[in-house]
Amino acid sequence: MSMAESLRWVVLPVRGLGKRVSISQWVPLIALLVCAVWFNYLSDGAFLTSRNLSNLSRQVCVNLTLAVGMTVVILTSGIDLSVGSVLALSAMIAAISQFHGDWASLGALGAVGSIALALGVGGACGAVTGVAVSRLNITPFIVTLGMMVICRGLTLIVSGAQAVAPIGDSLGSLSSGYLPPWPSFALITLLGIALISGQWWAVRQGTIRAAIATKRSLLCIAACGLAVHTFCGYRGIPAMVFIAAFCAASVWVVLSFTRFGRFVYAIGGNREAAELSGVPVRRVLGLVYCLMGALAGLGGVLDLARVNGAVPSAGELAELDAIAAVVIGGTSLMGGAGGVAGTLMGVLLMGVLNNGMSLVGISEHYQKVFKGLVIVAAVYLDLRSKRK
Amino acid sequence: MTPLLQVNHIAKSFGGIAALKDVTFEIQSGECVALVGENGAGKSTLMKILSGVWPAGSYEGEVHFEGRLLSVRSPLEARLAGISIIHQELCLFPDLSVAENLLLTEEYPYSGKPSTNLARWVHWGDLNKKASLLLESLGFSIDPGATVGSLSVAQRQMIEIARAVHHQARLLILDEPTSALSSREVEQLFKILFDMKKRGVTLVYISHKLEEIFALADRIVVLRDGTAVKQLQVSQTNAAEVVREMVGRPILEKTYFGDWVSEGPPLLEIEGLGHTDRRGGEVLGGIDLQVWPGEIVGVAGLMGSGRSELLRSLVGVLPGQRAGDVQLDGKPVQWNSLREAMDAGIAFVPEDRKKDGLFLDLGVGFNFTVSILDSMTTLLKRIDASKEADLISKLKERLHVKFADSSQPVKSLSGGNQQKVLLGKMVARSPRVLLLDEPTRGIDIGAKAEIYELIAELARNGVALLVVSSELPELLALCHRIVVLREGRLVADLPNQDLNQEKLMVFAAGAPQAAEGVRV
Repeated sequence: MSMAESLRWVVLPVRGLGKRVSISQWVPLIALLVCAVWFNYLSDGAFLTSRNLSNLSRQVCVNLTLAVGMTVVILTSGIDLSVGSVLALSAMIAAISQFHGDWASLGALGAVGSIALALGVGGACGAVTGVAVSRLNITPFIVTLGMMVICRGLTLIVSGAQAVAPIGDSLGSLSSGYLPPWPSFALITLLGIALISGQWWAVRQGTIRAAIATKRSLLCIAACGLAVHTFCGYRGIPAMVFIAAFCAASVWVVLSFTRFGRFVYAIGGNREAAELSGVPVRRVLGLVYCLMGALAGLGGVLDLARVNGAVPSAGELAELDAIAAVVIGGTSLMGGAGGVAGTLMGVLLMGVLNNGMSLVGISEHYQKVFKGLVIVAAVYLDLRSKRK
Repeated sequence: MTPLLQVNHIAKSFGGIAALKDVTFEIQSGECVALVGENGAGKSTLMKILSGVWPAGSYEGEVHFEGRLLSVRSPLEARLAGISIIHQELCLFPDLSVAENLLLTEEYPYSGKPSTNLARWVHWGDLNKKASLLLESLGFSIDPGATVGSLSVAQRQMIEIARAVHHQARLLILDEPTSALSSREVEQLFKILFDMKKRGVTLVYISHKLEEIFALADRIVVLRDGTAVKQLQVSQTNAAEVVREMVGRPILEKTYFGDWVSEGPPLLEIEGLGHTDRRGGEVLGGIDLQVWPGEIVGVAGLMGSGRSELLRSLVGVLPGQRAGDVQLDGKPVQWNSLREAMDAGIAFVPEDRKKDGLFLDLGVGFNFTVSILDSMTTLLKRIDASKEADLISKLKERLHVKFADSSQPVKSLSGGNQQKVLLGKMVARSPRVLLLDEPTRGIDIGAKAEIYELIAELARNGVALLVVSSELPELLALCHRIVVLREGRLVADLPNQDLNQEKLMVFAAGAPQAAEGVRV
C-alpha cells in the first residue's frame, strides 16, 4: 500500500460527515497535526509550549499575508513571482521614510504614514503588473519575473545597497506589541462563537448541510482552544498576527461572498466562458494583481517591524514560500479551485516545519531539502485524490 | 465465419453508477455498423473499452477481436492490435506538420530500418515523401509540409483517417465525425468512408444524425441505458423506428414556432453590417437584417460562412473592426464589449459549451448566476445567498435541469443538462434579444425537444431570437424565418413557408453544387 493509499484509509471515516468533501482538503490538516506531535516528541515538549507556538505565529505572518494574495492570483490561473522584491522595495521605502525622512519622530502618525507609503508602493507595483497582464496580455509568469528583477534593482538603487535602520518605536511596536491575555481570551471566544453561529445560520438558510456545519464547528472549537493555549499562555495576541489574520479573513470574505470573488473563480475556471458571460475579465485581473501588490507592501511593513530595519535582500525567495503554501493548501495552479482556508493550512504547515526543524536541531541545509520534498508530496497527494 | 468483433456481456460502472449494464453484439468483417443512443446511453464508455482507454480487467465481460480475446491495456496497444478510433475532439498536434502528425508515433520512425537506438535522426526528406505517398494513395490532396493548425477540421479528420490506414487498422471507430463539418465536407468524408469500406476496413460509426447513418451504415445497434436494446438492418427499418428504440418512447415530428405576425417596428435592426479581422480581411459584409419581437430567425450557412461571426460581431466579442449600423428599439447602439451589449438587453449563448460557455469544474449554481450577480448583490457587493438560491431553484424548474444540489460540478451533468445550464445562464438575465449559436449541438433528442420548447416559449414572451445552426431540419422546425449566409454575406432571407433543406442549400452552397442531392 502506497503512502497515499494508507493516508486515504486513515481519513476515509471522516468522509462520511460531508458527502462531497474531497480528501485533498484534509491532507494539510492531518500533516500539520502529525508534524506537531512528532516535533513535540522530538523536542521533549518544547514545541507545543505557549511561548514557542506564539513565536511560530509571528514567524508565519509575513508568509500568510503574501500567501492569501497569492491564492487570489493563482485562482485566476496566474502567478506572481515579484512579491518578494515588491516586499523588499516597500519595506525599504518605508524604512527610508522613517530613518532619513525622520518620520520616526512623528510617533504613531509617522508610523501610519510609513505603512500607507509601503502599501502605496506595493499597490503601484501590482497595478503595473496588472496592466501588463490584463491590457497587454503578457503571460503573468513573464511580467512578474521582470517585475521581480526590476523591484530588486529599485530597492538597491534607493537604498544605495545599504541596510536602513533603525525605525521608530511606533512602527516597531507592530512586532513587539501584544493584546494582553485577558482581552485576547475574550476576543478569541467571541470570534469562535460568531463563526460557529454563522455556520448554523447558514444551515437554517439551507446553503450548507448540518453535517458540514457540525464538522466545521468542531474544527472551530479545536482551533479556538489552540489559540487560547498559544496566546493567553504567553503575553497575548501579537499585533502582527492581528494584521495578517485580518488580511486573510478579508480575502476569505471577498472570495466567498462577493461578486468580485465569483469573478475570480470564473476567470480561473474558464477564461473564455468568463468573457462570454460578461465578466469584466480585464478589470478583475488588474485588481487582483493590484491587491497582491498591496499585500506584498503590507508584508514589507511586517518584515520591517520584525527586523527593525530594512535590508536590500529582504524577502528573497518569499514568492516561492507563498506559492508553496498556496499549492500545499490545495489551490489548483490551473486556477478556479481552492481558497484561503487551505492556504492557511499550507502556511501553518510550512511554519511548523521551519520552526520544528530548527527546534530539534536539524541543520538549515537539510531543512531546505525536506521542505522541497514536502511541497512535491503535497501536490502529488492532491493530484491523486482528484483523479479518483 | 468468425465475426471480426464480438462483444459479450460487457458491463462497467463508475462509483456505483452503471454506465454499461449488458452489451452484446457482433460485427462482421467489412461491415459498417452505426452505434446510436441518447447521451448517457453508454456509447463513449463502450468505445473507450474497445480502444483501450479503459484497460482489460476494468470491466466485466469479454471482447473478442479477430477471434482472439482482446486484452489491450492502452490506446497504443489497441492501435497495434488493429483498432483505431477517431475522436470527436481530434488528437493531433496543431503546431507540427501533416507529415509529422502522420508518422511521428511510428514504431521505427524515419530511418527506415529497425533501430534500438534512442537517438534516432529525423530524415525529413523520407518523412515527407512517405507522408505524401500515403496521402496520395488515399486520394487526399493535402500538402504534407503544411502545419496541421492551418487546416480545416475536415482536412484534420482526413489526417486522422490516413493515420489509421497507415497503422493497418482493421476496425475504424468514428465518434461523431461530422459534428464540426459543413455539408460539403460531410460529403467528402462519406466518399472517403465508402472507399474505406471497399478496402475492407470495418467501420463503427457513432452519430446523432440519422440521415448520415441511413446513408452509410449496413446495420444499426441501438444502445439505451447501458444495454444494447436492438439491432436493426438499415434496409428494413426507418428513422422513426430507430428514434423510438433510442428514447424508448415515440417522438412526434412537429414544428415549434407558433403563428406570429410582425407588428410595429423591428426590435433589432442591422444595416450594412460588416466586419474586418485584425489582418484586414473581410469576415462579414453588407448584412441587412431586421428581427421583430417574438420572432425566431434562423441563420443557415456552411461552415466558415460567417454564421457564428455574425452573432459574435453583434455582441462585440469578435476580434477586429465592425462597420455599419445596429439599432435596438430604433436607437443606434455602439457597444464595444459584451457587458455593454448585455446591459442593453442582448444575450449571447456561444456554441462550444465546454470551451466557451461553462465553468465545468464549478457548481451548477455558480454557472447559473455568474452573469447576473449584479442583480443580487447587497451592500458592499456581497451576494445575497437566499436570493441566489431562489433564482437557482426557479431556473432548475423552468428548464427541467436535473441535478442533485447546486454545488455539483457542471461537468458531472449529461450534455443535454449542460446545454440547459448554458441557456439558463442567459435566460436568467431576461434578455430582449437572444443570440443562440448551435443551441443543441451534440445532445440527445429528448433534451433537444425541451430546448426547442424553451426557445418557442421565449419567443411567445416577446424575445427576439437569432438562432445559428448547422442542422437545417432544426432550423426548419424552429424558425419563423431563415436567412442564409455565404462567404460573409447575406444571400437569402426566406419566410419559413414551403421551405426545405434543398432550397436552403441552393443558397448556402451557391447554385451549381446544390443541384445534386445534398446530404445533410
